[in-house]
Amino acid sequence: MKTRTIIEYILAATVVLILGAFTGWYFFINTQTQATIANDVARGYSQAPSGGGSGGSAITEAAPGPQTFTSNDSSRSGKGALSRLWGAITGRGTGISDPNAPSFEQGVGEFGYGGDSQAGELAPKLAAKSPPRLWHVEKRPVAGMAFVKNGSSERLRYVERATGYIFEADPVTGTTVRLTNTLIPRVYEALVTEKGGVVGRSLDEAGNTTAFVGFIATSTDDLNATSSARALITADLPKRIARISVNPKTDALFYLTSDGSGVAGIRSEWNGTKSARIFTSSIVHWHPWWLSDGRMILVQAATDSVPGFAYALKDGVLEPILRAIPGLTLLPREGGALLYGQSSNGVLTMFTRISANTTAIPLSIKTIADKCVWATGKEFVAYCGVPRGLVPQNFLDGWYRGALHSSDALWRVDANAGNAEMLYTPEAGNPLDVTRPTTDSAGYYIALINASDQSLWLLRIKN
Amino acid sequence: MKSYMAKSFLSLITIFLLLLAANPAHAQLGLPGVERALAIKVSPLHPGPGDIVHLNIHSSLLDLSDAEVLWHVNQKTVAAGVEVDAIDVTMGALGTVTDVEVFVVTSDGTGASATAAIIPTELDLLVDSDSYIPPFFRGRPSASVGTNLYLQAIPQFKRPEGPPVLNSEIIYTWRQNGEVLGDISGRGKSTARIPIRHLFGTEKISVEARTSDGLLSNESSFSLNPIEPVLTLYQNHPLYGILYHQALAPITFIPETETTFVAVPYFAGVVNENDPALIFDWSVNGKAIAQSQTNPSILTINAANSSGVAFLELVLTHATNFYMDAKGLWNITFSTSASEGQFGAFGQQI
Repeated sequence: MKTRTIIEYILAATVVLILGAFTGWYFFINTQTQATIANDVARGYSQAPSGGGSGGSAITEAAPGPQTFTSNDSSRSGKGALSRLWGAITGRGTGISDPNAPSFEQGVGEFGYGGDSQAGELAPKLAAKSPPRLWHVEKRPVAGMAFVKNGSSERLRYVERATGYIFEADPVTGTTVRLTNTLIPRVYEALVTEKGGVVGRSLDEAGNTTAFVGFIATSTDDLNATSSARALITADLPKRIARISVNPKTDALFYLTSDGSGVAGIRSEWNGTKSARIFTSSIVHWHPWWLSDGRMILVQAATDSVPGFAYALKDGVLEPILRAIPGLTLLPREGGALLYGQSSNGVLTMFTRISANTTAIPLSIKTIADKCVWATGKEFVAYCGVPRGLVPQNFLDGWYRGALHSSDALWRVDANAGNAEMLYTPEAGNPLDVTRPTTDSAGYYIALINASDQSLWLLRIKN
Repeated sequence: MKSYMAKSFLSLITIFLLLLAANPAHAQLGLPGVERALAIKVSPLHPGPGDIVHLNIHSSLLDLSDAEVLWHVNQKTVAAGVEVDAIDVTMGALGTVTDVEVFVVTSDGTGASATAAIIPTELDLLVDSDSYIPPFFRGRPSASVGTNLYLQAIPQFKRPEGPPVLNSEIIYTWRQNGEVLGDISGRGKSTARIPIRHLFGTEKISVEARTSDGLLSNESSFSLNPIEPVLTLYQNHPLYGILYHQALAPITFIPETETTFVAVPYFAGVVNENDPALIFDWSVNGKAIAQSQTNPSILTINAANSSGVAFLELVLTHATNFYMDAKGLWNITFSTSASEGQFGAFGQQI
C-alpha cells in the first residue's frame, strides 16, 4: 500500500514536471520565434509570397492595429505547439485551426491594412466585408497599378516591386488575389494597361535600365496544381529606355532611348517589334504621353524655376502646347484639355485649360500635376493630391529625389468652372504623399501610391 | 552813331539767318528726306501670335509736340489726333502680317510718314544638361561645373501666305555672355552644347534666329547659375533595390543591424555613381573607411555588438574636376543590442 502511494505520487509529480517542461519549452520557442521574425521583417525577408490555396491565393486583411510583425505573428500563434497539443488531445483535425484562435475582422475605423500573406499555409478565414473608405491595399512597395475590367466590374491590378508578381484587389470585397507566379526581382516601375498587360522596368547588374513587357498566361502551371496563379509571359525590350508610354487603345509603345547624340523616340508594337524612329532631339529628358485620341505629347522633365516646354508630336514635328512655364508639370487629356503646374521661387501654382483655344485658368490649389489624375467621362473633372501647408523651396527637386514628402489632402477639380473643393483628408498620423493616382472608369475609386513608402492605397469617392 | 546802327542791323540779320537755319521745319527750306524722318518703335521687338504690341513714333528731326498723327493698321484707321504718338496692336496668328502706317503733320505744316510690317514669330529655347541623375529620376538634371549645357532652339517661323520656314533656312547666332560663339552658329545650327567651366557667376546664353532675308527673326535667352552636386544617400534593400523614394535624412533610424547604403551624386559631371574619377572619402564615427574598388559609392554597415549609432560622413571629390567638392553628413541609429564595440563598415557591395 505504502509503495503504491509512493508510486502514485511519483507518477503525479512526473506528469506535472512533464507538463511544466512542455509549457516552458513552448514559451521559450515562442520568444525565439518572435525575435527571429523581428529580424527577418526588418531585413525584409519575411515578405513571403502568398500561398497556393486550392481556390487561388487569398490574401485577406488582418485585424487592424499597430502594423508590426507581432500582428502577423499573432495570426500564427493559434498554430503553435500548445494548440496542436490541444488539438491532439481533443482529436480536432490537424491542429492547424484553433477553436480559440481570434477571428480577424477587417475594415474597422478609417484604415484597414492588408497585403499580408501566409506562404504555403491556409490563411484564417476572414469575414468578407467591404473595405474601409481609404483602404491600404498593399503595404509593401508596388511598382505600378491600374484598374482592369473583370467581367462587369473593375479590379485594381498591381505589380509588387520586390517580386514582380501581379496581384488583383477587389475594391468591393476587399480581397486580394495573386495572379502570377513568375518571379522578377526588383521591378522599380511598372505600367499596367487597361487590357491587363504589364510594362516593367528594372536595373541590371551594371545599373543600366532594363524593360520588359508581359501578359498573363491563359492557363495555370501544371506543376502547381494547387494554385490558380499563372505564369507571366514576358518579352524583353531594348535596354536603356529612359521613358515609356503605352497607347491605351492598342497597347502600342512609344519610348525614348538615348542614341549617342541625344534622344530618339521609338514607336513599336506591344512586344517591341516593328519599331520605328519617329522623333529625335538633342534634349534628352522628356516625359512622353500617348493619349487615347492618338496624340503624343512630350513635356520636358521639370526642375524648379527653370522654363519648361510641352509639345504635341505630329509627323515628327513638335507643335507647341505650353511654352516657357517655370517648373512645368503637365497632365494632358484626350481632346486637348490640360492641367498643368508651375513651380517658381518656392510657389506652386496650378492651371487648367479646356482646349487650345481657351485661356488657362489659375486654380486655388497649390500642387503639381504629378499628383493629379483626370476622371473618366465627358466632364472635365480631375482629382489632385494637394500638400497641406506650405511647401519648401525647390520642392520639385527634393520631391523627385525622395528627400521631401508632403502630407496631402485629396481635392476634386472642376476644370471647366476653374474651381476646386476638398474631397478627403487622411487622418493625422497617416500622411499620404500622393503620386501616380489613377481612377476606375465608373469614377468610384482613386488608387494612388504613397510616395514616401511606395505602398498602394485605394480611396472610395462615391458609394 | 551810324556805325553803331549798322552793326546792330547786321547783328539782327545774322540772328535772323541763324534762326532760319535752326528752324526744324526743313521742309520749308526743301531739305530732302525729311518726310522719312519718322520712325516707329515696336515693343516687344519680337512679338508672338496674339501678343499686344506697343507702337510709338519718334523722330530726331521733327517736333512731334502738337503734331497731328494718323495711324492705319491693315489699311484701317485705328487712331488719330493731336499727339497720339502711341498705340497698341494685337498680333494675329503665325505668318499673318500686320501693316502699320503712321502719318504726321507737325504744327508748322511739315509732313512725314512711316510704315512697319510686323510678322509674329516664336522661338523656344530648351535647356538640358548631361549631369548625372540616377535611373527613374523624374526631374531634369541641373548643370554643374564639368558638365555640359545642351540647348535647342525651336523656331515657329511662317512666311505670309506660305509654309513654315525650314530649320535649314534659318541662321542662328549663339552668344555666351554677349560673346558670339562662331563655331556653333550658322545656318540650320539650332542646337548647341556649351561646357560649364565656372562655378560662380551667372552664365547668360542667348540665341538669335533670323531668315536670310531678315523678314523673320526672334531672339531668346537663358540665364544659368551652375550648382554644386547634391549628395543623397539611399538604402540598398535586398528585396526592393535602391530606395530612391526615401532619401536618408540627416538624422535617421534604421530598424536593422546591417544596412547597405548607396551615395548618389546628383548633377555631378559623371556617367554613373561609380565613375572611376570620383573619390569617395567615407568615414564612420570619425574613422576612415577604405572605398571599394568596384563600387565606391556603396557602403555596408554592420552595427551588431555596437552602440547602434553611426555618424556617417562622406566627402566626394573628382580626380580632375577640382570644383567638385560635395559633402554629406548622416547620423544613423541602428536597431541593435546596446553593447560597446566598433562598427564593421565595408566599402563593398552586398
